Amino acid sequence: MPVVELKNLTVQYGEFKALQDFTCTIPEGCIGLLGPNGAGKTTLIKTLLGFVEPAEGSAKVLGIDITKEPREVRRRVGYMPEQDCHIPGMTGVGYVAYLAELAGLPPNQALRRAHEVLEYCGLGEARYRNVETFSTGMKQRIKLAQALVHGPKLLLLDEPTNGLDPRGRDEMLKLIIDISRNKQVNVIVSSHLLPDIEKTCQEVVVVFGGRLRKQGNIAELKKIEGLPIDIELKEPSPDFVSALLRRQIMLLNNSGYNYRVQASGAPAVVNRLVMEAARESKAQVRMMKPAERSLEEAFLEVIR
Amino acid sequence: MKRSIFDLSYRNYGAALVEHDHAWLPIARHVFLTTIKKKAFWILTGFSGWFYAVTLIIVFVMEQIAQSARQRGAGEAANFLDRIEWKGVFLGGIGTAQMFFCFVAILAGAGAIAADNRANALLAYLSKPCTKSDYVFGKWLGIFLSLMVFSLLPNLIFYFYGALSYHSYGFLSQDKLMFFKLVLLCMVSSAFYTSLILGISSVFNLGRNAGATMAAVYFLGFFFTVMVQSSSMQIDFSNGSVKVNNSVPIRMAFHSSVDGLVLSLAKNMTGSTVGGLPLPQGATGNQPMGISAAPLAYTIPVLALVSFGMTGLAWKRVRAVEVIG
Repeated sequence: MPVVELKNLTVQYGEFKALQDFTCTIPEGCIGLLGPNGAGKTTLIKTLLGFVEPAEGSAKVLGIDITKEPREVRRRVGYMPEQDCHIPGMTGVGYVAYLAELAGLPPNQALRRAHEVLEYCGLGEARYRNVETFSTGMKQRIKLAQALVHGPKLLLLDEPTNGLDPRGRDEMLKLIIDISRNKQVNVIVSSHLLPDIEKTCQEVVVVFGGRLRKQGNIAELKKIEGLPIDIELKEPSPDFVSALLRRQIMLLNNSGYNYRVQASGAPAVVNRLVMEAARESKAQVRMMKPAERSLEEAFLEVIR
Repeated sequence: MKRSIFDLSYRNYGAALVEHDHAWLPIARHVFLTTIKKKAFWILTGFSGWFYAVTLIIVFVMEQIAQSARQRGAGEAANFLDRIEWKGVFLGGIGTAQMFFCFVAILAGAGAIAADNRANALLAYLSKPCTKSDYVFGKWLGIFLSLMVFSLLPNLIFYFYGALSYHSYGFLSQDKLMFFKLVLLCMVSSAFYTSLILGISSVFNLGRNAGATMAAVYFLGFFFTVMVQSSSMQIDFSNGSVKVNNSVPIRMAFHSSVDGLVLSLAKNMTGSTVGGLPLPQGATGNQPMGISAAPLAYTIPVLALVSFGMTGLAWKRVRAVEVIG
């Protein structure tokens, strides 16, 4: 079942259209919502939560219409906002337990779950501290904890690594990976940080100017047309290049002992021809793999 | 191998959630418990009962004097006790507690929405199955319950003490419905102050700004009514008598402040105009004079309008996303 279905969704702030004619189906798993600042990612998330009413179109989250039953949607969804959202004067465990109660957990269960989820998010030691005294990393974690506490089927994470140092970022990404792969929770990660998306998600939805620009598997997105191959030799070899050319294999790029080549035909055939060329020129192949561009290159091409 | 800092044995919550439509309940409980845990709340509650405390001391002393005087055949103190209008005492108690009412409303409600606005906590609330109405009602109820505790406690302590100790002086017989009137008055005034502070709180991002605004509204209104009272008095210097202009516009103007509206309702309900104990017989000086209550046809609509208006303002101001049209 798709976690989100959008049909011609348009969201307006006054005259400004933040989302325009947005149609897409987001499958289960960990999905990245990619786009530059101001692209409409946060608006999309807030629309899914029922904070903003769509001007046109329809949206369903986990099969529930967001305009008809926003409360039901929020019962099944956890949301980690981009900015701080702590309740002043509360301890970590008090805050998470309170929000768990709001989400519908009985009070005793809420407290138990708050302890569990804080432990899971690495805040076990700090749970009795006032949330206002938390560091940025801890605030990010407690936002994740409050989003998780009621056992949502879908987590909406808005810029989850915002303001984190490299170690904190790495730990947050590991948490997201664990949640999506081992805890059976669908996750939508909104970010403009491509490495974060690449590390955590299998699929991306690229948003730009309030419109859907591209949706698909990350590996597919990174593929280059014509399926070129990257080859790494032990040392540079002009004989290897000549041998390649004799076999109708085009050299696209060469820097030092790295070569990017392309030929028409099935990948298995091209691979065999490359190995033959290496054998003939007595070049030692250290690495050979289908060439792909970085996600950043793919993203820039999509939004160009 | 570096150990992960998080607990990988964690499992997602799979039990059923409560299918309730009253997310306001945890909010109300949180606001109420947070307020009553503050020392200042109990200190102000204690101070708000000063009028009753002084009354009890005076009545106790007079009762002792009356008992010893009866033995001597003189009954001036007993006469004083017989002349006490208990409804006036309650009016005095309610009137003098108004300033403390304002302070407790600030204590309980100034930051109720303002602090959430500042900390973006609305996003956390409204991302749960909690509607805007749940949020506003929860906050409202939490403050209301705190104010009910604050206002009922001194009144009921005095009422029950009086009922047990002074029933022979007409405490119960003067107005058999006084208990219910007290409860109703406390409810209405608590609801009024709650709505006022909640509306003000929703406009600000800082609790202290909301508190200062509430205090300003209260004290400016109070000074205005003092001026109205002064202008309503006509002093006859030839014989030193003081007359009060009790015309309807004066009564309405005098009772147009925050505490004035509550006082007007209290006067209407108790049927008293002057709060306090009677002067001893033969005491020199003028009897205290009060401005009569404003008509109920004015008091109730204004109270309702302000209460609904300010709660409506809070409801309108609360939103998870700041939408600029």
